[in-house]
Amino acid sequence: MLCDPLRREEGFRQMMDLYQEKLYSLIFRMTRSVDDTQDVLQETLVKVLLNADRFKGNSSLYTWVYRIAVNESITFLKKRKRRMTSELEPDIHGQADQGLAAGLSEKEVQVVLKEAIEMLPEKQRIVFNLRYFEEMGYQQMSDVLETSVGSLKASYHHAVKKIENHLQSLQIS
Amino acid sequence: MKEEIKKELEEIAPRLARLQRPEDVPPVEGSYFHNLRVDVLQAYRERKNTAVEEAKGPAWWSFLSLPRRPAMALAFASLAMLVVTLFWLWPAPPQEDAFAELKMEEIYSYIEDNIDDFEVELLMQSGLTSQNSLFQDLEEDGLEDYLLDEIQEWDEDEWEDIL
Repeated sequence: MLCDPLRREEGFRQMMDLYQEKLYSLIFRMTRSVDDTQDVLQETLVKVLLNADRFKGNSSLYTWVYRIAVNESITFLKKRKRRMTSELEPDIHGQADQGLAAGLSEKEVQVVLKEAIEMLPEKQRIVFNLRYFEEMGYQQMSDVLETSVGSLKASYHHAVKKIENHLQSLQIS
Repeated sequence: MKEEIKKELEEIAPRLARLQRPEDVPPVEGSYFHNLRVDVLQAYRERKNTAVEEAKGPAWWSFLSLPRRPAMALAFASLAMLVVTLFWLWPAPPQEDAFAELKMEEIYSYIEDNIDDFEVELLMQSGLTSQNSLFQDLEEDGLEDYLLDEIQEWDEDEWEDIL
């Protein structure tokens, strides 16, 4: 329906019913900002509509839309990185270490975990988010990110190990 | 969490596997997704209309509109003048001597390399024009006008012969 120019808007509404929350979460986990998420999500959806003719059905609509969302997010992050000055970048590591010891509350552990995820390099963070939060299979991830399954497994493994080491260093068990 | 992913996590990172997955995405306002749909559809229609407007002209129109840009116009005019000059001077005996050892590819290459430096004034000073009676009574401006008029008169066969 999305591919049919006459029914595209109707198809868009159906697609939104299925994926709007998932796309919002995906983009938020990459941008970590509500305003930026809203901007990137809107641009993603406009591009989905404008490029719907190019969707050939080789992959699922979900995969195709996710690929656009991930690409838009990466493009946005690159632009934002160029804009940001070093003093505006959060010292995540420092924040995470402040006053931490064994016996943290559940809420505090959640904060540490979120910060550990943010510490990951961009590619590893994307792969981690898609696997850990979106529960995406490696093959689908490979279709979205256009990267080999082997490379994705290695990225996910590294990301998980880094987070695990961080938790271990803070004696979180 | 899917069993496959959970198992994988337990093997690589038992601490992380034991932690509850954080709820890290803040809830959105009630009307957000409704407004988003409206905004997206509006932006889509606007951009689609813009794309249609841009695509309205036939393909050849965009080619023909190239000379309207000042830099392109200058380049086209200069190239056209060179081509016409070569066309007129080519059969003359002195020109045959001058270009006898040059291949067409070399001439085209020379024109492309020097198109930015070409000036009608230099052509006038070179004396080449004086060897053709058609140019003898023309000043620089007149020569330019003449060459441009000539180009406009050419039909498709003549362009093919030159190029």
